[in-house]
Amino acid sequence: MNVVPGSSANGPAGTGRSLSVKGLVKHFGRVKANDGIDVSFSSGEVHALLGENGAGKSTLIKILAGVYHQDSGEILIDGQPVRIDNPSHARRHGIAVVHQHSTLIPRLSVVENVSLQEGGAGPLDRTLAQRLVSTAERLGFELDPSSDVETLTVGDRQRVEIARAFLADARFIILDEPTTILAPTERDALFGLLARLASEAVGVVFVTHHLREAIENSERMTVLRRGTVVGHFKRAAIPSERELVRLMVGELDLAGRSLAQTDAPRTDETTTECIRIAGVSGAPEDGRPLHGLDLSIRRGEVLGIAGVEGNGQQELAALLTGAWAPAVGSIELEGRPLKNVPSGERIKLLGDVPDDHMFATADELTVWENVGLSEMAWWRARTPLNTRFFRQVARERVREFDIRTPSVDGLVGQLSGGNRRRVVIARELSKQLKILVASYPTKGLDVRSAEQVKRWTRELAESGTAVVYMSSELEELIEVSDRIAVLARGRIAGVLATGEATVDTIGALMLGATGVRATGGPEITPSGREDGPDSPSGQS
Amino acid sequence: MAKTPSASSVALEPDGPQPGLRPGSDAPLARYVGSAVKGTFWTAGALIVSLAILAPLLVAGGANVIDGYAELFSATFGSFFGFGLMLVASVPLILIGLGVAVPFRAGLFNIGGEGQLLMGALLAVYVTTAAWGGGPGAFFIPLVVGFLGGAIVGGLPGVLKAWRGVNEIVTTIMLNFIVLFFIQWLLTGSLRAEDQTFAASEAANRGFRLDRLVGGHLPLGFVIAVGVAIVVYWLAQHTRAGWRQRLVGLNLRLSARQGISVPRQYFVALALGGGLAGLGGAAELIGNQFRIGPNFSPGWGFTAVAIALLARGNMLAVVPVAMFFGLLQNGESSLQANLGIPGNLVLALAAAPVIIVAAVIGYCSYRRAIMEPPDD
Repeated sequence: MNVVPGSSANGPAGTGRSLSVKGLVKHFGRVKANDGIDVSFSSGEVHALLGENGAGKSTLIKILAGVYHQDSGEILIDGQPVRIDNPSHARRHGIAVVHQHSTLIPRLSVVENVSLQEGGAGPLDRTLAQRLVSTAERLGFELDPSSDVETLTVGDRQRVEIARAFLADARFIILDEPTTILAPTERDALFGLLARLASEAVGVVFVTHHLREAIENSERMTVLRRGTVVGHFKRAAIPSERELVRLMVGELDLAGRSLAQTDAPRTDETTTECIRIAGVSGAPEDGRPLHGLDLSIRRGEVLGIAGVEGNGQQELAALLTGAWAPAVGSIELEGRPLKNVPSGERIKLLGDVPDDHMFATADELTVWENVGLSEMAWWRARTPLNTRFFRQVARERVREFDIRTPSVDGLVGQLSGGNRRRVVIARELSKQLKILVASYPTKGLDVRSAEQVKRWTRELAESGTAVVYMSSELEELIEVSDRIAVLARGRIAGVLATGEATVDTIGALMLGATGVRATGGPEITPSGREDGPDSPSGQS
Repeated sequence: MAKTPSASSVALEPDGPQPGLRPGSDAPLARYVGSAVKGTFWTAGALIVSLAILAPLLVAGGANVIDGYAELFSATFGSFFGFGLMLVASVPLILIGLGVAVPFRAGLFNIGGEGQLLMGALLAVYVTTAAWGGGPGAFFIPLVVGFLGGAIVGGLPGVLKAWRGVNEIVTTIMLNFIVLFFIQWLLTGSLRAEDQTFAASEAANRGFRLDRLVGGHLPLGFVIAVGVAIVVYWLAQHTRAGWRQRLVGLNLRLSARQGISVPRQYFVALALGGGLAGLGGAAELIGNQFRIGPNFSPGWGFTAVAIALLARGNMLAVVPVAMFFGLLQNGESSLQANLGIPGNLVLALAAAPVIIVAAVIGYCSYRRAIMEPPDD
């Protein structure tokens, strides 16, 4: 079985050498997601696709994957036009896609998941497990086909999807924001794997928001903005990060970017305590346990929370927002036990920006209903008169928070992820907050949106609100926070003042306590990522 | 309608640019009316299509299609008396339909309308056949008692669902049988009136019965049912409590994060739904049948599920949809009597719009599922 096709130069009759699109157009209602895209991907190359939220990257990928069908324009393989009407067409043409969100079914085992796609409803192919293992081996990692997907880490799940793609003889593999969900070491392992695939004549395309990641790991780079290609570079001619940002964001420029030079963080000892957590242990339903958590957060400070995802961040957010009342230990809001604060008041005082939009918005409701959601549930009923009020408020918030929606009557489910996040932020920042819990608020956001979120966070803190800010980007945490607490396995592994917080010190705390394993590549400490030629330009 | 995601996703939004320009968006009265119209728009289409489906059924029943339709509609629209009969028939349908629509809005299926209405009617029998003969306004007492009876029968599955996670579909269905057989057992003994040939209770005292207004053509029960529908609509649309129920029905995880007690909302929704169905049973008892017997309900508890589904969770739309079913019920007996068409054929007609609407809802959510929003 030719697991990695074209691994020898004489692949099947010279097919699969290039995958290109010409004049690709795709509308969603009145939104032009792709507006005449021309781009070509070659085998044996790693090609990065860059662009803001809503630039049309995911749409392009979904067209190539057969999830959407283009309104006009054509897809060519080796110069021959092909039709891709559904995902199985794409697979037949050797195009494999690893989507942003895992398409594996958690309750099923690895081999069951793969056989679902391979054979449909037919009997289980007994050789499949063996083929899967050997495919993984050739790709350079280990895989246990009988383990249940729900027990795997996100990185392992991604590798399962990649192995699955190569079972189906993929000649091109397209990964949509593959690193968003990965810990730093897992990212390095992934890029090691992608380079290896390219060296075996596979065409690799990946989408990312991280410029440095793109610069360091790709031979070619294409930048999209508003559905069109605005830049295309070979490795030798890749411009600076700053130049790339300008291309992606365009004439809008980076109004909020001055924030990068953060004014000296204030660790004023006189500011009063907002929240005190003492000795909290135990786990919320479906959560992981916290162990003896002690934490004090002052008014007007941004407390960054670092840690590999799944080490207690969700549980800490549930604790801080009062969604979970622990059996052991206490949590007090300005000296008052949080469990004694009535729900309505709690919702007004404790802001919550969850990382999963399923906890944050109701997709079937309009923008204005989502913006006014807490208020309508607790303080002000939605009478016809107030409806006018809420819609007016929402119109202002849409302007203030730059929410891209046709109108406040548009459904939130129709907005892009970044805009949904803005809706949530708009709602939460409209309250009289004592504390805001922001869980990965910039995850998946483009550069400009992320800068805005960081600016809103700082402004909120300056107005006296305590902010708990979680992020997987250590540079971002250092930039935004006054202090950084590192979570590892449900414990606070350490709290660092800004002076002592560096990527190295935080990374050591994160890794020392979690023991993240790197598969398929040398162990790389987070500091290793600092080696980029022009690393300090914009991000840090 | 254009095939855009925004049009297909709700199927209710008007097309075209609409920045804050939904019809009557800011005028309260227009919003009320607009809401009811919107809620019935697709349903009306489904009902018309299903009337067309009736044609071959009429032929199969051995009747002329035109005659059949004429008979079906003239039973209601042929006379004030016939129209009044339709209104009477729609009273329990409206109230029990609301009893399904309320939990439906919170994401729950109440299939126990049958048991709840029977319990409401049973308790209403006890208070209206007691020593006191009633008087002006006394009808209020059996209605309240009926509501409470239904609320208990609906509240029990509510408790089980909210705090024990027991599937409410199973518990509400099973309670139907418990209440029905309990009443049948009562009818073999203490409840049975001695002067009746068939098993039936004593008749409600005249002082408790619902009058007919406007020269005997407008049943008071109908006025009450519509009033209740408006109140329930107002509670659902314009109160914080109603909004919380809606959020629970739309997104559990979001609701919990917003400090809303999901168990409490579940309990309230099922108890209130049961209460409304019980109210329907009591209203039928004092407005129409006056006695409870083994065949007190021709299956309203299940028809109500169809009504709530066709009204698509809109409390006001329940009224016209229930009236349509009242019209069918009315026409059924007259088709049977005058044209010899089996009444069950007409009941088959009732199923058609349900299937159509269910298919439309299913298609819309399928479209929504595959038409993801633009990604980042």
